[in-house]
Amino acid sequence: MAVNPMYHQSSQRIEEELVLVREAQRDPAQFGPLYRKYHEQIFRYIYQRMDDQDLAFDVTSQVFLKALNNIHRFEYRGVPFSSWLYRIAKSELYQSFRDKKAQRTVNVENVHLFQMIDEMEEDDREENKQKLLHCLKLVKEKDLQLIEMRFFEKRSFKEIGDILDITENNAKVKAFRAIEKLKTLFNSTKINYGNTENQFGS
Amino acid sequence: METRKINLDRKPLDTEQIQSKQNFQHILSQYKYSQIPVWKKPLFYGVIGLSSIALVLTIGAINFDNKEATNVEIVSSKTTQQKLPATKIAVAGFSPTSKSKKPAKAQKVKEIKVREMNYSLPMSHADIAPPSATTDAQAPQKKKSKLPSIGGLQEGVISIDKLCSDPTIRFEDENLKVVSFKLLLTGNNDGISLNIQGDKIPTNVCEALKKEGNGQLMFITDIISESSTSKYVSPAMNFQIIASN
Repeated sequence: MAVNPMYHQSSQRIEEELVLVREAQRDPAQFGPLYRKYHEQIFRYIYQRMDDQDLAFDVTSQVFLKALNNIHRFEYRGVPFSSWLYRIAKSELYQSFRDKKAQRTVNVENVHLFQMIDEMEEDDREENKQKLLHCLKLVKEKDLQLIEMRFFEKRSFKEIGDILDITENNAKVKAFRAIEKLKTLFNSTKINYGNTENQFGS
Repeated sequence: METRKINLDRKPLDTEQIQSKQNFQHILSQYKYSQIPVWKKPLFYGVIGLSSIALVLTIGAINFDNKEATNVEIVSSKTTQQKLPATKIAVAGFSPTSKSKKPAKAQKVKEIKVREMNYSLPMSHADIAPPSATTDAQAPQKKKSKLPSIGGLQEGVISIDKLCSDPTIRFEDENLKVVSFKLLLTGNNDGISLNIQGDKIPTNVCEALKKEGNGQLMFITDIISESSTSKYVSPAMNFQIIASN
């Protein structure tokens, strides 16, 4: 599985980044390098979960504004600064869902769907793809978060753990359970397949 | 159930497109604005200004209401005060001619001051319209005058004989009865002030007036009267006493 090179920095790079954070804590105008470094990946994280591109840019701006307002509270824990930004992004993103500004969207690629079907030891037929898409609508939000990060965004368990503020092992266990729940849902959806087919118009 | 939208194979955005939307200066200016203390923001002055105006108007309205309510309260409190000490006419030893009654004079001055504070100076009957009804229950009494009189006179010159033959303070409206009043005599020599319960000028006052003779001034103030439904403070009556008709 691919690893996000931006996230998995060496400890030396993380220390260098900490210098930038300290400078930004002293002078907010020095936050610029961190903003430019992480803007794209925070935007992609947000845009992955919503449909409206302009709103995704707005939420991204809100994330960095909130980060700038709270940078004096940032505590270095030996993980990249981006994990702190991701947590703010998650909070802002779900706030926009609660405010009904944005609709929760799952953006998925065909290739990832078939990888998942393969993981679930099912045949990569079109009807299974449609069923899986239907199951993604039904799965619980906390499980969907893990599935999205692990299978659609290809994040490592360490990165998932840092974003969700849990340990790497805990992230592994939770991701495993999430995929198990999806499997169960997938198998139980067979009965209602006719309805599912109609719902997706295929 | 949650309404989730599923997008399959959405066209990905390229890096240049995302970077073109980067605007750190905008974030920084928003941050600087958020750091301005609330009391320095124009919005704050708008809110505070409107609140202040509303507060001033509210206080003004409350004060206006209180002024009206205070007048009513004075009437009721005065009535109670005059009932409580059971001012059994302190006429014992009353002598308007006695020059040694310095304390009585001092008392008069004091009581007049109190009256001025609460009611202002007694007004002429001619200047005052009959007191208007304060409640709906008093509406039927409106037509009858609520001005008191002694021997049919409300003010002016009155003879001692007329005063003493019929010393009752009456109203045209029979439902109204005087409960108490204050009598101020400014004789040729010394004056005196008396708080009297009831509606009659005491006989010993009449005797004192007869002794003093012509030229005295008599002020009847703080005339508290009551009907079956409410209490009133009537305007003062001012008389000049003459010995005979």
